[in-house]
Amino acid sequence: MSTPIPPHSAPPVLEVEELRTSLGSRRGRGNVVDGVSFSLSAGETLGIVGESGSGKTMLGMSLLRLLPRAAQIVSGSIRLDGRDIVGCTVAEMRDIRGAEIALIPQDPMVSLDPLFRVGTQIAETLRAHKPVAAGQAMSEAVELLRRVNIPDPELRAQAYPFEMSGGMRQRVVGAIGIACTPKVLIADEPTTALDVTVQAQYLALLQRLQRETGVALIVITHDFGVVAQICDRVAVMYAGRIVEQAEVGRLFDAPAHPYSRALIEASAAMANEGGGRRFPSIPGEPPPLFGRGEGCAFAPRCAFARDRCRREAPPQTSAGPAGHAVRCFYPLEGDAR
Amino acid sequence: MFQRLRFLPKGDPLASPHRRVPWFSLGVFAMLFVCGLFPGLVAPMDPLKANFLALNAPPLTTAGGQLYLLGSDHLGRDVLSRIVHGSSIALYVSLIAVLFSSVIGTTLGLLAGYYRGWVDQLVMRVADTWIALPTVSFAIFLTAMREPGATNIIIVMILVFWTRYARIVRGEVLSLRERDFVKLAITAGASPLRILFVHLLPNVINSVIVLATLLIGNVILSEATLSFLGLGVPAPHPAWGAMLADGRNGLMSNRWWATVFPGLAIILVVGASNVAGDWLRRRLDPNLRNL
Amino acid sequence: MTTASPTRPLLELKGLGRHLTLARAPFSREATRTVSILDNVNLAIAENETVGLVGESGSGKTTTARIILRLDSPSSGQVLFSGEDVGRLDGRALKSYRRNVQPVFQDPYSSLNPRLSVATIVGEPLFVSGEFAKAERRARVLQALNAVGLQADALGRYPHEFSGGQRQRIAIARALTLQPRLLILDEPVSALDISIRAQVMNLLDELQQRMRMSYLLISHDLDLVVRVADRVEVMYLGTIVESGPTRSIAKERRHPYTRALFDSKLPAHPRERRAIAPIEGELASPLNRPRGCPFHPRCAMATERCRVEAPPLRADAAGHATACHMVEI
Repeated sequence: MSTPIPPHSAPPVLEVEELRTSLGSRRGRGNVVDGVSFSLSAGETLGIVGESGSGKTMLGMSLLRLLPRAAQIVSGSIRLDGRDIVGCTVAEMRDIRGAEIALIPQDPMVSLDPLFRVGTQIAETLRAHKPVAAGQAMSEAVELLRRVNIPDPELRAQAYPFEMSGGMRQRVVGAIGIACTPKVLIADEPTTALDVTVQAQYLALLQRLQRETGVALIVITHDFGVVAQICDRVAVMYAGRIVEQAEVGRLFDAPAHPYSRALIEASAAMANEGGGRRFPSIPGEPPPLFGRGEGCAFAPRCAFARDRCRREAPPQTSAGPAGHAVRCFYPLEGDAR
Repeated sequence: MFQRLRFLPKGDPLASPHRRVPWFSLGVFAMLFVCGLFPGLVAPMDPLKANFLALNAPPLTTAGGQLYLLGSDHLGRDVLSRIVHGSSIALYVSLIAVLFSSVIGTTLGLLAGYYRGWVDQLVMRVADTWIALPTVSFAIFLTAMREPGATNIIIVMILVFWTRYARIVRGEVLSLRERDFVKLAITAGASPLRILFVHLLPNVINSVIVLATLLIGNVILSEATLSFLGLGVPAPHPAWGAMLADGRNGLMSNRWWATVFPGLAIILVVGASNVAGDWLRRRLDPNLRNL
Repeated sequence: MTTASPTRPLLELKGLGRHLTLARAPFSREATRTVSILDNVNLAIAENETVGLVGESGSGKTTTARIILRLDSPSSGQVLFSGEDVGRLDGRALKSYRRNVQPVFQDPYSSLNPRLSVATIVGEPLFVSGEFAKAERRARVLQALNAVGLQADALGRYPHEFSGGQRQRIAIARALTLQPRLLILDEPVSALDISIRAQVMNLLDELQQRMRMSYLLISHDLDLVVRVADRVEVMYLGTIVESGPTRSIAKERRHPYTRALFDSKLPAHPRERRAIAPIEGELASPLNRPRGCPFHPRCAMATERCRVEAPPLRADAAGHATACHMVEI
């Protein structure tokens, strides 16, 4: 059973070009997002995969302009429906955030206010962006809860976050995300806070909401299972750069970057009941943020690295079919397995 | 693309005010220590020596071949020298009081937080009781029982301030004891003593240092209050609070210097302690906002 | 990995139960409201065997680990180590138990005291035991660090200088210093990145072969457990619902919950994606534990009987046990 991939001939709702975000600390300053470009059409789902420190969360926060104090966008553009939001003021961003580009945060326990009923919290989001009366907003909130499969939504709207299970809270946060029918929705690690048996349920819900609203979805995750289940396209991040970008089937079948391939093999092995005794692993550790040298950031861990990889950073090149791009001087060919 | 963005703050955002080193406050502290430890070297005159040729001399008066930089009081004693010697008392009282209250409070806080149960109940209820204690009445009581002197003030200060340490340390230990390294120490067979002093104490010591810095100002202020009321170091020794009290009458007849300068000394030291404590807190741990 | 020896198991849990008192009657020690965290848990780990304990949040798997480690005490039942009741150990005997059973926890950030050097952290079990001279301790610490792939230069450094994967190695090195016979691995890799997970699992496997240790591997990750364990125990809301040799469990998946766990696995390739969720309903918490079979509200096969009567865990001849009224033995 496969879901049809929606057509992407429509003009993109989100275009990111050469985005650079730097982060400073006592130890120095480094680019956590380093020249990232991609685009996204309505109804499309893009997975951004990477390990901790790859910059995937910082990329998401840059798109929302919700960076911590020590981090800032230094160059590049983020065109949301044709408008570059990198130059928007804080006040303008407040209107755009939630209404046009929204976030479903990772941990619903932290993102819901424990002192307010969930219905009130959803209604508040609505009223922040639309001129609706309180009563009207409340009934819309109940409707949203119904749409995210909360049983007895009228009753549940009166509940406090702590009275709900983790899975329900996650869906409430999802309801807040789609409340103002944004054009782009960013789901940050949608499954990590959930137990195994509710993860699939929640992903199915995300997909249904996307079909109903036509929102463009960005899924930030470290889990290739999530990517395989719901994404149309994938961008693999390493050390702040997108090292490979492809249609999801293509990436799983013929990853061109050695890192993508190693990662896919490692996670496939973890998911494989019958496999041998040893897990395929990637030697070494991801590079630190400060003092990343010249050259390809993956070179020190790469089995195929040559002198050139250590000297200069590879540019993005095409790897076969349209839409498959890779940052590697010596891309791999053929099947992953 | 690539244009400098207008919402970027100028310079390094990490150089925000709270990261700047408070040189002025640290300087005040340094002065307090120099004056307090070597008053005889700093002070130009004997703080106890009356000079009837220079009664109530205003600042910058020269009398008998000596410059009264900050003026003299109603007995003709040099205000500057008295302030310098007063700092000695302030430093002595605050350091000893802070030292003892931090040792007592930290130990009790560690025990209460780690053992919880009845130990916790006992320590915290006693702490609550001490907080309700009327400081001044207690000081009057002590002075009545014993000779007046700095020791009384120190005892009162210790009794009042150990509770601050106990509360903060207990709170931190409550969260630290749930960390896995404590469980691992238990499964390694470590004794409670080892867990308290090798694992927990080093993790709360930053807060203790910060609190001590903040409290030095507090103690000096309280000492001044008690001395002002005549409950501290007896005359003629120059405690700052007592100087304020002495100079009070002069204020009516425009002899402001005998009151204003010791008052200024108190303000400077207390302010410096707060600023330096705040700076230390942010430096040592940005998460400690609840001191 | 190896088959269990027919002799006495190394560690045995017998009828382990744990409940918490939520409320007491006034002026009395009598509990008026309790919740059951663990209910009649039986489990055995043989020499050099890996037993996997799988479950979601609220399943009681971590409480089980805490009881084995004597960080918590059971309300009923007992823990036997080489036939001895662990709950009664004290003094020397407890010390010797502690050196034989060591844990590795999930969060490598919380496991290492940020104020202590690696030498102190790894050497602590040796130091506390009081049986080793300084030189001997140092030699053993170095040996343990080498065993997990770290060099001597790590000794004087502090936890913040290491990445998550390296920290977990340090935590493992610490557990190894006293040459324990059983490691309690509580989610040892779930906080780590994929590429690092494989490294750590391979390391654990190597160490087991070399040092002939037994492992209790506690995880929510069914794939991982099935891949490395000899036996699997599946827990749901404080009870074991299915237990048996890994191969048999992976193949037969008798309990509906085990099946749901297998079916909930996210696909390894987009071509295997699923359109519908394999299981509906919310995960119940021990606070509102259903009567009868704890799984019945989410079970598609549940009957009237499941709603009133809790099914016992019944084993077949091969040692594959299931707690379900619907499964024929």
